[in-house]
Amino acid sequence: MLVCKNFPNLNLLFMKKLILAASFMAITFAVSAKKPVSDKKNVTKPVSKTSVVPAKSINCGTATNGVWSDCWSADVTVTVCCDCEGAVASMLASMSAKNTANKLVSVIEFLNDALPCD
Amino acid sequence: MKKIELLLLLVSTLSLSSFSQTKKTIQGKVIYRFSHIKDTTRPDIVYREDMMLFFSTEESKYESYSIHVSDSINEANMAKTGRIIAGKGTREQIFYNYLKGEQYSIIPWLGDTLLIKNIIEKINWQISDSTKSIGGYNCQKAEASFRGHQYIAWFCPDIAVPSGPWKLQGLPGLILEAYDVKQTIGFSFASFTNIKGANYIVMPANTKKVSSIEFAQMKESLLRNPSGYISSVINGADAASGSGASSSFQLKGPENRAKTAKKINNPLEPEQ
Repeated sequence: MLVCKNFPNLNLLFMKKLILAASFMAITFAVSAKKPVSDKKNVTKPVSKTSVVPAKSINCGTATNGVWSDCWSADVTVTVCCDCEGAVASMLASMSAKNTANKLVSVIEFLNDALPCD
Repeated sequence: MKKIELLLLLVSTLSLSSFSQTKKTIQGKVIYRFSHIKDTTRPDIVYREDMMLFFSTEESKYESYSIHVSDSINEANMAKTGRIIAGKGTREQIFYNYLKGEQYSIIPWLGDTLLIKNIIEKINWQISDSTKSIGGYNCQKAEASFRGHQYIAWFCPDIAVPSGPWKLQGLPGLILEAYDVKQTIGFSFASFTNIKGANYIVMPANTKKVSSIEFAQMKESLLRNPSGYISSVINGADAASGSGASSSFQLKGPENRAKTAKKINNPLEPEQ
C-alpha cells in the first residue's frame, strides 16, 4: 500500500483524487471569469419618449428704493437678470434694492449731520 | 434605602436653588433724555435724543431709543412706499463689559458692522455726601472731568453696577443722571425698568474690526466725495456677491450745503 512519507495516514490515491478535484475547480473558475459579465440581451432596456426641455430665457427685473433725510437723499435702482421667470427677476431686484437702500441709511444720516443745509 | 436616596435628592435640589438665589443677577433698562448744545454761540439750538441703557451685573449696552423707534416705523414705511426716512439719532451702540474691562463701539457703515475697541479711561470721580432721589432710588453725587467737560453725576449705590449713560462709568452704582457743569450736555433720567429673563446685551456676530483712526479716515473720504465713496463701496459689494445684480444710485445733497464739514465748538468728545 502506497503512503505519503510526511503524512503516513493519508492514502496516496486519495491525495491524487484531491489534487485532480482542486485543479478542475480552478480551471472552471478561470473559464467563468473570462466570460463577459452581462449579456447583451439584458442590457437593452426600453426607452420611454422624453420631451425636450426648452432652454430658459434670460429675464430682467428692475426696482427702485430711496432713502430720504432733511437735506440728503439717495435713490437706488437695481437691475437683476437671471435665467428665471420675469416675476422672480423683479422680486430679486426689489429685495436687492431694499437691501442697498438699508445700507445707505447710516451714511445719509451722517451726511445730513455733517454737511447740513445752510 | 429608597427613602434615603429621595432625601439626598431633595437636599441637593434645595442647596442648588439657594445657591442660584444668592448669585442673583440684576438686569434692567434705563431711558435717558440726552440734550446737547453743540454750538455754544447758539444756545437756543439744543440737540435732543432719547437714549437707553440695558445693563446686567456683567455688562451694559447703550444705544439710541429714538433710532430704535424710527427703525420700527421705517420697516412699515418701506413695505408701503418703498422709501426709508432716515432717522435723526445716534447709530453707534456702546457695549461695555465691566468684568473684562472692555468697551466696544458698534457702528453700521454701508452694509458693514464696524467694531471699534474703545480705550477705557479711568475717571477720577470725587464722591460727595450729597444725595437725592431719582425715580424712587436714593442717589449720591460725584464729580469728575472727562473728555473735555466737567461732569456732575448722580449714581445709585443700590444698583451696584459701574455703568452709566454714554461712556460715563466707574462709580460704585449705576449713574441715573449726569450733566456738565455748564449745562451744555445732559443725560437726565426718564424711566427705569426691571428686566427678567431676556438678554438684550448681545454683541453682533459679523463685525469688521477697525481702529478709531481708520473710521475717522472713512468718514473723511465720504465727506470729500460722497457719491464716489458710496458708489465704490456699493459696486464693490455687487461684484463680490456675484449675484448678477447691478446697482446705480443717485445722491442728492442740498444745493446750498456747507462746502466743508460742520465744525462744532462744543463736541461731546474731542476728535481722535
